[in-house]
Amino acid sequence: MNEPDSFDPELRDLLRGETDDTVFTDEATARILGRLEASIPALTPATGGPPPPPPPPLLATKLGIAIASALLGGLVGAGAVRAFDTGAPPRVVYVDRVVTVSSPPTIAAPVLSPSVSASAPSIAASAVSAPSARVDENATQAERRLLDEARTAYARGDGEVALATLSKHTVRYPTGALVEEREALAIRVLVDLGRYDEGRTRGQRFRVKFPRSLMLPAVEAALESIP
Amino acid sequence: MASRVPTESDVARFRELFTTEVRYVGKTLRRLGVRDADLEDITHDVFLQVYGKMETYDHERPARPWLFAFAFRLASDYRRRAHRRTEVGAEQLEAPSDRPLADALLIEGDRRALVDAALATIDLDRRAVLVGHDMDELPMKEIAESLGIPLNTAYSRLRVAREEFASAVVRLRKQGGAR
Repeated sequence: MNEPDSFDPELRDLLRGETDDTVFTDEATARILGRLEASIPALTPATGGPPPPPPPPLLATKLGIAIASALLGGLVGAGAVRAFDTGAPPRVVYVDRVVTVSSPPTIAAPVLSPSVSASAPSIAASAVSAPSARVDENATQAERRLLDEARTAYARGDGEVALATLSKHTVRYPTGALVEEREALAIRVLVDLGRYDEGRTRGQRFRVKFPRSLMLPAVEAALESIP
Repeated sequence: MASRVPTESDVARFRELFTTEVRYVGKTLRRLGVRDADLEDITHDVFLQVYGKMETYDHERPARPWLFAFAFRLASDYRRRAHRRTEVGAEQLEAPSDRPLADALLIEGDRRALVDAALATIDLDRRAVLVGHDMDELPMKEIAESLGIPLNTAYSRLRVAREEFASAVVRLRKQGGAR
């Protein structure tokens, strides 16, 4: 088929005169690029990211207090013994005690920033959802495969496919072992797709359902990025 | 589904593509009905998808027809979502009637407002052909390929879109009291 009938020159000029290339300011362009760099780690210039946060001083402070207390207690105790020492030989009594040793807390990898949180949830979730004896390993592996598929699609920039895959997970494993991880990823994808209201709604549910989640900072960061 | 991981050269080309074409993509999205308030978001989404498909980018060929396909797809998704939303209805996506548009024309009186308003009256499938052909001056064959439609269909859509655009301009000028 040939070119359609000639177009009114005035209308053609009207359309072609619309060549405004200043749709974005330089600042807006920089903002978009910044968001892309946050979404695509490979785009981030290899000049090193922000320095890792210093370890919290709380532990050192506690240790210091404990040592000081021990020293002080020792001095006071020695003084008291000396003051009340009557010269009689000490009587030593041995008592058997049952000592309950609590298991050490699980330390999960911290979520450093929103830009790395795409991979962080899986680490955190593994720590959080420690498999009990009753967990079906096969089911968990199948869940994991679905989430990996969704995460790959998301990293590839295919948010719609990622969401569809996450929906499959919701249908197949409504109370699965990796629900927390699924929800955290879904919120990030929704926000990136510009589906802010859905992201906020799911984010609110996430806060209520998983108030102590290690993925909560990443979720909050995604929600805070909503303009 | 199985796509290779972008290489370093993909990343370099992507950066170059972004730098040279980000404004083209933004402008195209606006012409396809994306609100100014959402332009940055949707442009970001376009380039996110572009990055995922860098392996299919032929840098020997003009980039714009290729980018146009992404912009069209994202603009379509955007409009579908906007129609589903309750708090941002379609009437906010584009003006619901000629009255506010005419008012806007009276106030602004500029060409862009008239073009945007007239474009807004055209169905997206036809508008995309008009934008690609008569505004961006892309070859019709490439537009048809980008939109995944036969060439004859593209020409048909262009013909109808031009008629709709002409009618809208006449109507808007009358209502806006413009020339």
